[in-house]
Amino acid sequence: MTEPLLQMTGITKAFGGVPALADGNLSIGAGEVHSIVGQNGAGKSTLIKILTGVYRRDGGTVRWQGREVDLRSPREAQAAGIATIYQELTLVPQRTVIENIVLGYEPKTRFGMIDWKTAEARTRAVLGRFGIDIDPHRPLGSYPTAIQQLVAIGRAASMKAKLLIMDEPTSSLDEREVGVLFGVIRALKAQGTSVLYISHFLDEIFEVCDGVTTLRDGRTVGAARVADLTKLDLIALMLGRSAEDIRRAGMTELAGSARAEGGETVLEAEGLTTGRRLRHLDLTLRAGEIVGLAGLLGSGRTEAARALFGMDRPTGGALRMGGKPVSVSNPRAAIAAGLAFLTEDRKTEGIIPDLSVRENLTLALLPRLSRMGVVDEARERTVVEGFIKAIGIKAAHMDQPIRELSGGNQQKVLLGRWLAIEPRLLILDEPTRGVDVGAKREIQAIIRQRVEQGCAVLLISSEFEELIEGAHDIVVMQDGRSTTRLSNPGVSEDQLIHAMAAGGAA
Amino acid sequence: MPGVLRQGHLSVWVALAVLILFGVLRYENFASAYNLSSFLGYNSMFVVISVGMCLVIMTGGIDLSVGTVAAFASVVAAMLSPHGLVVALPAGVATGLVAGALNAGMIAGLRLPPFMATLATMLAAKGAALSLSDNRTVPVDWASDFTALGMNKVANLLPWTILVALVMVAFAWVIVQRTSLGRTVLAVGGNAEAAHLMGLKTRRAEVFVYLFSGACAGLAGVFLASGYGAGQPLEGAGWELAAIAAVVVGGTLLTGGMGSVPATVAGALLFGLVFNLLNFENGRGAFSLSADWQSVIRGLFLLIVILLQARLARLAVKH
Amino acid sequence: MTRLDPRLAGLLVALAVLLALNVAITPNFLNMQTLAVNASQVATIAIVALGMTLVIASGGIDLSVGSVMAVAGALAPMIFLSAWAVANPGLGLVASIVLPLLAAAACGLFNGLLIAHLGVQPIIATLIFFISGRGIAQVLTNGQLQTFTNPDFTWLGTGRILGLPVQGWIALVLTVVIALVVRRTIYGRYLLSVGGNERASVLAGAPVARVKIATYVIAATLAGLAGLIVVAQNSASDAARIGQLMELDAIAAAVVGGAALSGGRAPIFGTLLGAIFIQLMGYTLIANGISDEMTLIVTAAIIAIAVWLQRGRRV
Repeated sequence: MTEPLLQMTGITKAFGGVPALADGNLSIGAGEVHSIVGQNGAGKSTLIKILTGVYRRDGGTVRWQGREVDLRSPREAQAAGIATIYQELTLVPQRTVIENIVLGYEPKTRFGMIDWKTAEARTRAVLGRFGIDIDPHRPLGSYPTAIQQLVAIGRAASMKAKLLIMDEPTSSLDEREVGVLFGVIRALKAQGTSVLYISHFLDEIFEVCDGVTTLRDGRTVGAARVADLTKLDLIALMLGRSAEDIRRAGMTELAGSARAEGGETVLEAEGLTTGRRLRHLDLTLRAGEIVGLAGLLGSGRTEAARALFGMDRPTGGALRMGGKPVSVSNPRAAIAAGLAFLTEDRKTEGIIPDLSVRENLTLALLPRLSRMGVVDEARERTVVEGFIKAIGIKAAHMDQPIRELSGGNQQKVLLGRWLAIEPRLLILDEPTRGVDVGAKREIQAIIRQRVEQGCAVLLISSEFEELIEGAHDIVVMQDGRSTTRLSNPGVSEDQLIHAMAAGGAA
Repeated sequence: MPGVLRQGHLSVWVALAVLILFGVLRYENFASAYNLSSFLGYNSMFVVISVGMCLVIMTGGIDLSVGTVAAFASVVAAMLSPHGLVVALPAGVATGLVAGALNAGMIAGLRLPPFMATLATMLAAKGAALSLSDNRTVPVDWASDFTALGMNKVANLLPWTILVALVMVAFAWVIVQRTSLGRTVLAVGGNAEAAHLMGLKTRRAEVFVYLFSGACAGLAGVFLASGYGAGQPLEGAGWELAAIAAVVVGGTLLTGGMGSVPATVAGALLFGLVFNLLNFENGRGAFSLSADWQSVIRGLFLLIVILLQARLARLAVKH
Repeated sequence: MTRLDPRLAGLLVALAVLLALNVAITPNFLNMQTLAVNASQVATIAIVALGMTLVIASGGIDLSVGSVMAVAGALAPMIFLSAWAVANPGLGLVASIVLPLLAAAACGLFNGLLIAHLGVQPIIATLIFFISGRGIAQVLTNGQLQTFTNPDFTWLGTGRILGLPVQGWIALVLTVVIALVVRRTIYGRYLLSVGGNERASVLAGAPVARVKIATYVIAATLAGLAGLIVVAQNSASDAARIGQLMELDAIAAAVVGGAALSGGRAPIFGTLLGAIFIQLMGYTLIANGISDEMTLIVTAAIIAIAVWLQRGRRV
């Protein structure tokens, strides 16, 4: 039995003492299209970065083409024949297609000068092989993302890569473009090039891949041929379902949120679309109600929240608040309309690192805390004290710089920021992610309190327990569309996972 | 929109041609050997520092020190002029290289922002120039062959300085067009992260452009001393802005990643031509345009170009 | 901010050392005349630097301050020397202070609009006035030096209150006022948050564009004030030289005082100390026989070191 092209065994990696990979394994054969799947934090991107030389592994072995290797830089990985097409563009849009194809590997004449004629010929050859017909002299940036991606693939192919890694290649492609991409992948396979295809669109994996490796919590938990699995098996592996997990009833503090009788409709979205990502959103939110938004990574949940909060401009559909159509054009207007949005990424979109806990907490409340432009500090301190107590924020004092707090406490401060404005609708995007268990419970308890006081909550979460135990209804999203609304109590994890996996483009 | 980005380059040449035509038609002495040679002689300094600036801006950086470094180099060259061109010329260029190395060290090495780093060098060079020259202009040694560079002309038409400047231009052009180093320069400005991930030698490119810009400034300083008979420690104020303006007018985006060396030269000549024409217009007595209007017009020019660039950039990246 | 920022403490120590050094070796350091001279020079830098600190805190930079000084400084004499002002001296004096400040504010508005609404980078946007502002000033004055005698106006630059120059008091008062604005007002809060994390500020409903525009207007107005003071000090307005290289001194004072070039911090007292430090450093060198030129080199080194130290801390 010949050794596979790539064999990674027992890879471990930790950052600052926090383990990202505990046991990573990956095996890819020559001419095979393979995929890695796993939820956020499973260790996928760490494993890939070790493979491409961006990170160095702490432990384990990597065997490439039958020999043990230690790739220490992207250039070494490239030289070894491993090429990567990243999700964010890693070509230079200002430069022409030809240049992007040959950059760093330009054909030279005798005198060491770049031979543009050969470069052009090489470019045309590689593009032709994939059936891409474009003018290679134009700047790369003048072409749509789909073409740019194909050029990136062309570059890798022209560098005689043996393994091409594609990271979420279809996230900005439409159906036709995806078809073209798959054609290219099959062409690569036919010529013996292996592809590592990373995507959260499981249907695609079943369509174009030969094998799939599943990661969960930093470990490889399964490696199989695609033909031997069903989608549900895959999701179960990804999510680590086991009987006991399901049976853990009442483990979350959201349980017991009584739905207020006859809560008025706070917000209604009908067929809302924004650009490519959000294709069709139907959503109704009532006072005193928690609606959960469930879906796999990339299903459009965050895009839905952004549309509601005025961060993306709707291109279709309707949005109504209190029965009347509204157009929320930016976050400031959204806040004025009574909306609040606790985003997923507190580091880039949440905390102001140099400011104190107090200043961060009252940021959205400032207009109401000021008279004639001056902030009423006494009132501010009272408000902040109240929240510190109510939410249980652990800080030395309210003037401590927020960056010194733990992640969980930072999250609590941000939650406080949004609770402070007493919104009618609170949108929470993964509010307990990256937060320790104790803080998690406290955050969930506070949310429940607010809901009982009449606030409406849209809860985006990847944790089934949170959704099933706490939400009154759960809306499932797939590929940017809201597909089903499940009514609680009575939703089981099985049902939910089924709803998340069913349907979609065949 | 294929030509939109190229259009930026084409329009400089068109504007240049139009202005030249205008000058030839309207002013008697415009097309004279005297005007041509003095125009080229004066603008050779700006052409050469603009080319250096062009390369720096291609990487997305900026070099504010070129003006005062040129002044410093002019002082050095003037002081060494008794030993002739063969010593003074390299010395002037070397002065510029030292400043360039300082910039490169701070920017590529210590990762200081180019604006602050070259600002510091600009101050230091000014101080050095004043210090070395004792706060005075330094007359050159007329007995040596030093002034031949600036004052002699080929066929009584083309000053040697412009020819040397063109050599630098050609050198820069070849590097950018035909070498990996040049392509890396452009890639760094376009998407530095991608360039690094692609395995390009980005640091080498950054060091190169600042060294080159320094050398250009040094050369311009030698031109200054040689063409005007004295090293001038206080000259050079605002030269960096003239260079930036030339680069921008030539269609290069300040954000980096693209640009054209020839178009930059055209931009520098264009600016010079505008003032040449204004002088002629002055001479006709129609109205008096003081030197102060120059800076106002430059500012206006820059504003228009910036606004146009903002629009072009938005169109180009639309996809 | 009840704790003392360690960087501020460091600066105070450096300042103390410098003062001690001067007392020891510089002749005539401890007399009123020396103090007054230094105070008047520091005052103008400090006033401009206060505005620069706000701009830097917003995440930007303002290269136009020197030129704006020149514009304001050119306008003032033109106004109070005009026939109308001579006929109405009281109003004339007021106008010759208010109108130039308004003109300066307009320059700031120009900068702010380009930056906040057109998304032009601050360096580039403020470069426009940097290039043309002085020219505008010179065009206004026909390139001529304007000298005058107007004791009411020149009091601004030469008067004394309790032995210290008027402009020194103005600088002190402004420092306190601006510190209060930063600490206590909603504008100050938004300023720091926009500079600290613009994205998060947008999401929290901060009026980012308005904050940025206001900041550039304030900075330009302060620069205008500094221009008026310089003109008053010299009883002359030389458009070619007012505010020459002031942007450098202002940036240096702000950076040395602890402002982070990436934004989000506005250490107002630090800026004042930074201005004093740079002034004192320059004075120490000159009074002890080291040339003007070396001072430039030393300032350059200080800027480089201050920026580098900042980088070390941030990463």
